[in-house]
Amino acid sequence: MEFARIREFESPLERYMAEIIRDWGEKYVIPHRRNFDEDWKEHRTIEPALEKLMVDYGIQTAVWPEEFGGWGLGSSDYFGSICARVMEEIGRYDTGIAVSVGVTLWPIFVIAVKPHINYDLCAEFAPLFMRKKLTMAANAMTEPQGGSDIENLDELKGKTIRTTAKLDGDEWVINGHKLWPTNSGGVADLFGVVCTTNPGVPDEKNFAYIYVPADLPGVKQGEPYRKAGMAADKNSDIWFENVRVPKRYRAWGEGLDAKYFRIIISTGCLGSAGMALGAMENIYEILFEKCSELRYRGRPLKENTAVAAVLADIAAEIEICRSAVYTYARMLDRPDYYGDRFSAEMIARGRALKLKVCDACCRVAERAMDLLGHYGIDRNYDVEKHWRDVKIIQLWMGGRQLCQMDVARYFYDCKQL
Amino acid sequence: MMMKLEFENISELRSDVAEMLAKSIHEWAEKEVIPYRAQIDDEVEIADRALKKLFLDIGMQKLVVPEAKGGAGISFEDLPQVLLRSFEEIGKADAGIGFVLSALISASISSMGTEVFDYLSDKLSAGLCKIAIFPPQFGKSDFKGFELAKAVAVGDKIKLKGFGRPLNSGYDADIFAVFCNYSGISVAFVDAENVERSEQIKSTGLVASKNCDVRINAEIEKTRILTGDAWKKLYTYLNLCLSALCVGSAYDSCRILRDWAEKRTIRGKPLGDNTVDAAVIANVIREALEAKAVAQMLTKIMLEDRDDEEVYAFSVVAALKCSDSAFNSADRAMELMASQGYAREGLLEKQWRDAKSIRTLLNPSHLLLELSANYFGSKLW
Ligand SMILES: Cc1cc2nc3c(=O)[nH]c(=O)nc-3n(C[C@H](O)[C@H](O)[C@H](O)COP(=O)(O)OP(=O)(O)OC[C@H]3O[C@@H](n4cnc5c(N)ncnc54)[C@H](O)[C@@H]3O)c2cc1C
Repeated sequence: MEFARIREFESPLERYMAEIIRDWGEKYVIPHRRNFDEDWKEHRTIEPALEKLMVDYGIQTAVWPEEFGGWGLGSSDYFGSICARVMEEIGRYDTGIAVSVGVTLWPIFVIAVKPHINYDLCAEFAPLFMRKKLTMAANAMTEPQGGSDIENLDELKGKTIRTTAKLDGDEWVINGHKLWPTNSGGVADLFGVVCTTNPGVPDEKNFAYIYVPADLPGVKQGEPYRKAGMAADKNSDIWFENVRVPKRYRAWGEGLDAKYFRIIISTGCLGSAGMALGAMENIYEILFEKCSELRYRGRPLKENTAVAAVLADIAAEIEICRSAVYTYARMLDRPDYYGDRFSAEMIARGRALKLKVCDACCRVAERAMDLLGHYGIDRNYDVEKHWRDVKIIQLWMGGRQLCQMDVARYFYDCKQL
Repeated sequence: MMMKLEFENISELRSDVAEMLAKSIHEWAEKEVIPYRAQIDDEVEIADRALKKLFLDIGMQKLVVPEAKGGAGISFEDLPQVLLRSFEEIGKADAGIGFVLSALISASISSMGTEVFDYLSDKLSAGLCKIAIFPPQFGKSDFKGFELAKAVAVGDKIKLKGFGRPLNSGYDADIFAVFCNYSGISVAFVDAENVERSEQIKSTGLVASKNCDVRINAEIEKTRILTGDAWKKLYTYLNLCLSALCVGSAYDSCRILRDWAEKRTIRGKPLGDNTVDAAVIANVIREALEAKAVAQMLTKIMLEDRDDEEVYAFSVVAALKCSDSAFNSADRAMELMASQGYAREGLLEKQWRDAKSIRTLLNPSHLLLELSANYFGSKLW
């Protein structure tokens, strides 16, 4: 059974990607998925799965321009659709792997997506990702005092950022403490770091997005944290102590960093919704099988009207979410029609999408568990794993409340939020 | 002025015995559970040790065992208040341990006044004991849409056969309380040696309850079976224990959120001073208070002279409401605590997983149908 997909919107690459990810998921994820939780620290089975996808299938090169050996996704008219599809298909198998893959592309968007391609920085960093070696990136925003306020750029304009970047001759000297970035804990080779050049002053000119190779002196990472789920995503503390990088490692410069950084918000919302959609689809597949098999009131579970009603609600959520995700993805595909990917409008639409799809996803997982009774909490049925994993998709990137505020601010023209 | 989170039970539900026991449980929690809570899921010995202390040293396992046999001999008149307070305290510490105890207590209470009770009292006073409830299973439709274990009388014995998953502790229970089709719906008590167990199942939460699928193939004395409405009594007490457990869990989520929110700043002010966040906080505490009100109401009803059917039906409502509340409190608290709520060290995520497990195990979709059958006479089975 297939949920709504508008065929004429689908690019050949997107369809091809979907096929290879399905093949990869069946071979490299499904046989190990039930042990991912135990593998949260070592990544013995998770890393080979990531390696296959990123290196052998080349996803780590996807965003970089073609002249640097990448696929040039950043210049494609299907940029959003392909990102959404990749997240959806990986999310169907494991949202932890999806975020780990998505976040590797994320910081690169700031410098490798049309119309803001920084060819010098692409030349500098693309070769790292062209190696036949698993190469990951991380986007370091969140700090101990809070992540949401840093993302709340429209209101706070970077005022709360404590990680500082000071220019010393031709070098930035970075000091600060980040926590939680996906692919920290020793995974990432390159960080995109949110810094301020003037702490405590609310001005987007002070917002600096600076690339920092993970092996530089002064970069220190902690042990990964233990979480409710998302075993495939390692998160830890990162300390920057007098870390020196060349001046040109700043993405764009005063004012422009903050402007183009917003593509991280719009694509982050799209990616979150895409992977949540994939998880819902897998829950649907599991329910289809189990509710046909388990019997209640003398008939298959799904043939009871009360159960069928819940199953219908779940299918309806997925049907509508799929349409919403690809509508937004198509809008991100075509800034020529719908405005810049970093515009307040596209961010508000993205926040609205993330809010709704993540709520739907958590609700779907919860209801699926309840339907299965005993089997709902059984780790052999995988539904509960999705339930534990997807909760954080709803909470990251500033959580439900920041989504609500960004949506209200745009759609109701609020001035004091 | 900030009010204290704790909300004492209404005066008529307070008793010295209940308070004394609650105090011991609180001390037990502070010593045996709270310091180790972040590791409980990974180091099973922690839950094992804490459970043993609660069951034996504090004596919760022998709550209804007669004093002559070394138990506390709590009478029917005192039981509901004692269970309410005790399980509230346990719920603040570890819902999994409370879940295992709920099964043991409700199974033993349902047998009071029968020969089964003598057998259970001996077992419960002999050393650590766990009772697994083997409820009707997915399958055929012989009891409210579910399948009962098969019981056949052979001479003065009963042959019992069943396969499926217990509610709790299938992997390490000493006794199984098996719902079976003997002269209507009965509960048979089977020693573990007559039960074949599968591998232990990995589960979302409630780590103290080690479960697995079991195959029951036993021949038992007729005196080991409870007929009539005993199953209803079992479920009524189970629902009371679980309701109170969920109240404790909801309060703990409130406490964790409050400790965190006091220090968190959003948009330059304390988290809770933003109206959008205050509204969520309000829902977290509202859920806890509502659960508390419903659990108290159930307790009070159980102390009155009421029709068993009516009490049973209300206990279903209470368990549903309280488990919903425990989950919602944890879930919405997590919403505000974001990463810290999702991290093991934040302690909230354990309450979240445990509360969800209880709710799922209660089988809410089915319980709702039962309510319709109870209150509107829907003919569903
Ligand atoms: C698995 C995982 C992966 C992650 N990946 C990354 C990553 O790649 N990079 C990164 O930098 N961080 C990452 N994070 C961190 C995550 O994005 C933050 O946790 C999140 O943004 C919220 O920040 P916080 O936890 O500091 O909570 P806070 O910022 O303290 O927010 C607390 C709560 O305040 C409320 N709130 C937020 N904004 C407002 C507002 N404007 N008005 C009123 N209330 C508001 C929300 O309910 C929020 O949940 C990750 C976290 C996890 C668990």
